[in-house]
Amino acid sequence: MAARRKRPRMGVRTIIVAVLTFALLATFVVRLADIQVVRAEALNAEADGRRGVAETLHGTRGPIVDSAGTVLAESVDRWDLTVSPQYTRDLEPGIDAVDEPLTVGDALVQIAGITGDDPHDLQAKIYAELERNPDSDYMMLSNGLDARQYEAVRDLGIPWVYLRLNPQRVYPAGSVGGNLVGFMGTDDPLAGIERSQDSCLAAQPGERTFDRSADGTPIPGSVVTDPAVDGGSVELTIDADVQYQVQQLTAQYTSQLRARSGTSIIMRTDGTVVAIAESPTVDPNDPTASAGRDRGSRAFTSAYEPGSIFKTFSWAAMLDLGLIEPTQEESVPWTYNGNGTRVRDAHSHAVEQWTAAGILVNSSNVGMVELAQQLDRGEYTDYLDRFGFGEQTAVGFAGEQAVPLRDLSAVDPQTQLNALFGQGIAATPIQLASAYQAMGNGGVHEPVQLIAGCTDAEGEVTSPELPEGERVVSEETAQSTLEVLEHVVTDYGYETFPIEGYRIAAKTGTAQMAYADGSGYDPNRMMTSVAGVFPVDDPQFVVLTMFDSPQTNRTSGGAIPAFHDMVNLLIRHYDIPPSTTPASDVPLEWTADQ
Amino acid sequence: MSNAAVAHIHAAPQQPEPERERHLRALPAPSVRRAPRLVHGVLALAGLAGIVVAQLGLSVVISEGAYTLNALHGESSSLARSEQALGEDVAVLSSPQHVAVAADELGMLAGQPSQFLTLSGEATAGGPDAMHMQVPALDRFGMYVPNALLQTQPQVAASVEHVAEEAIEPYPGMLLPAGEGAPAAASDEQAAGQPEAPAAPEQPEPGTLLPATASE
Repeated sequence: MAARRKRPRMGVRTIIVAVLTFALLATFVVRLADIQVVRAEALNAEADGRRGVAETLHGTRGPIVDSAGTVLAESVDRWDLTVSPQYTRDLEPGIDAVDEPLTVGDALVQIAGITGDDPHDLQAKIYAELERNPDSDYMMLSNGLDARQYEAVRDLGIPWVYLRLNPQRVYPAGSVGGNLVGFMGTDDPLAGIERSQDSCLAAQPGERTFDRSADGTPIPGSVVTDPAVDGGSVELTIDADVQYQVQQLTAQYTSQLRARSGTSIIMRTDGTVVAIAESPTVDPNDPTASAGRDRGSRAFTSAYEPGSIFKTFSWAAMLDLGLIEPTQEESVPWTYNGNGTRVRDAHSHAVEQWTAAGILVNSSNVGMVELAQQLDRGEYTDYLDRFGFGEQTAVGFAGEQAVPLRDLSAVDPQTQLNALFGQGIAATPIQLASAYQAMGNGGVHEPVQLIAGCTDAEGEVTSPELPEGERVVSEETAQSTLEVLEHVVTDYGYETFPIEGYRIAAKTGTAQMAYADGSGYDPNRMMTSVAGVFPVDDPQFVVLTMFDSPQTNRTSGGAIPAFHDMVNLLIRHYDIPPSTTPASDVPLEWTADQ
Repeated sequence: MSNAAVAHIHAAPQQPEPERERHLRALPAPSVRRAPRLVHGVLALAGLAGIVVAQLGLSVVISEGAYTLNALHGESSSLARSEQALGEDVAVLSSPQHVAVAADELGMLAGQPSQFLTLSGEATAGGPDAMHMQVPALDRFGMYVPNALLQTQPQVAASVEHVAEEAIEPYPGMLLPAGEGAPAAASDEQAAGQPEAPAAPEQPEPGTLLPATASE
């Protein structure tokens, strides 16, 4: 009986305990869900705010190097020295970690001794800031501290000084390639490769979050790192040594000729750039020291009417079309009139009995007009198009000009004639060098290549996408044109031109410069230039050098020694052996007796 | 039911009885439960204490490690900074401008071009002739190919100053080349230590092709 009575009571108790347990569990579950799910974000944020620290990890902007790996641009750590003006105070032993009292003045003298500033300036800056805002808690006192200065300032242990990392760009080789490499503004790339290759060079910032203990040490296990991705490295095709020497030669000749500017381009016959020199140049470490117009690369941005060095292309086009033979005999007076057009040679001369080769070597405008009687100007335009005129080169340099090509069959008769010898038609220096490249490459025009590739942080190399090379003229045409141009070097009357033992093809030009307003040619300005290819028996290099408005020698004779020295330099630098074949003997003149 | 079974039941009614009665059977005698021994308790507590102490020790070691790690990180970044500073120095010192100026300083000249043996073996074919432009990398207006970073190199700065000073020694009645500024202005430029852009209009000996003679 007793057992029967007890049984239901035990059931009730069990139920009560179970219900209570369940209720407790439910409370915990609800609470857990509330903390872990419903308010998780807010609580996490609060917790992070209390202990957590997030710091941005700066990736390093990638370097720019030449073909041999010489660094032309790189990022280095620099520090900004900032202070809290309202807390600048004298330091006392016992309170601060100093052995003897240190006044603000003394501290500033010590800081100035490290940074190279004037301590009075620093003090005046702080006073001025406090005047402006007595509660000011931030002011930059000095910037660009290098690692040694950073450590020296840090070792002073002044509590109101805070050093902030601010990576900067340096250019160890200074203005070597400065016009190509470009430079950075405060944050953004402003010119050159820095700008056009920013997508490769720029780093992706990362973040590191961690909980810290009272003294700032990260608590183990709490560190979450989203690493920064460093920028890629851009490799150029240029050779820094040659670049330096060509720049030096260009600068020396520019100053000797008292020219406004000088530009030289050295290119391999496969279209890769070895050097592009500008004078005046720009030192990317200090771009403001150069005038604004000198900070880009004229080789890409300054189109001009090239003048006689352009004759090579019209002559080669006519030869390729079979309209002329190098030995074709012509009688060339010094003026030409017809159809309301008028063409004159640079100097008056008697009627000369020149061959077609002689016309090109003696750079006769009238002779070119005589040869081009049968030339279809539409076809000529196609040749120029294939030579690369009228469009940007494959480099796509920041600010590069394209100079659209006009259809020469649709222009007035005078311009049709002028275009044969490089007037009434404009081109950039790089377009001209690139067209000479086709002549040196057996008639095949290859795209200009300045950037060899981009190597990203993981070491993956991306080569620039370049268009296919295109045949402009036949191999025979290219070779016989170069053989004719050899005579410009040997027979043009300049002793400073040839280099004995080497077969060099070149064409000089003295181009007239138009007034900026287009009202005709400026008699006081001219562009003297020499463009060439060597060695003729196995072309390897294209050299173009030009000087704007030289004062001490206004003929192309001024640019010839510069061209000679640049070729000389390349022979020395690359140990190019002398030519093994004799120069061509294509006749330049003819006599009625023959 | 078969007859045989019925017969069996009736034949032996007594025998299965006692076995059916045994619903409850005596268990084998349980071993006597004694109170837990002290040694077990001590062992358990000691184990617990051991675990606690070990964990404490481990966490001390880990946090010690965190401090060591932090210190090593600090040291590593400090060393990285020195490496970078030295690397920067090397990069600037190996820049073409510095090499050129230092070589000039030491009186070095450009080497002879290579000579080539012809296959016929009769003679060597000479390299190129001399360059027309034979002027040092540095003149009184500074470097032709400037590098602002070199201004921090005392040796180069001294060379620049020396060349600039040597070029201009003003004396009463000194005749300046056409277009040249007053010597006072020129020495101001040196004092500022600013290497001028190479294309500055002032340049020695206008009209000479080979300023090598001009610089002598």
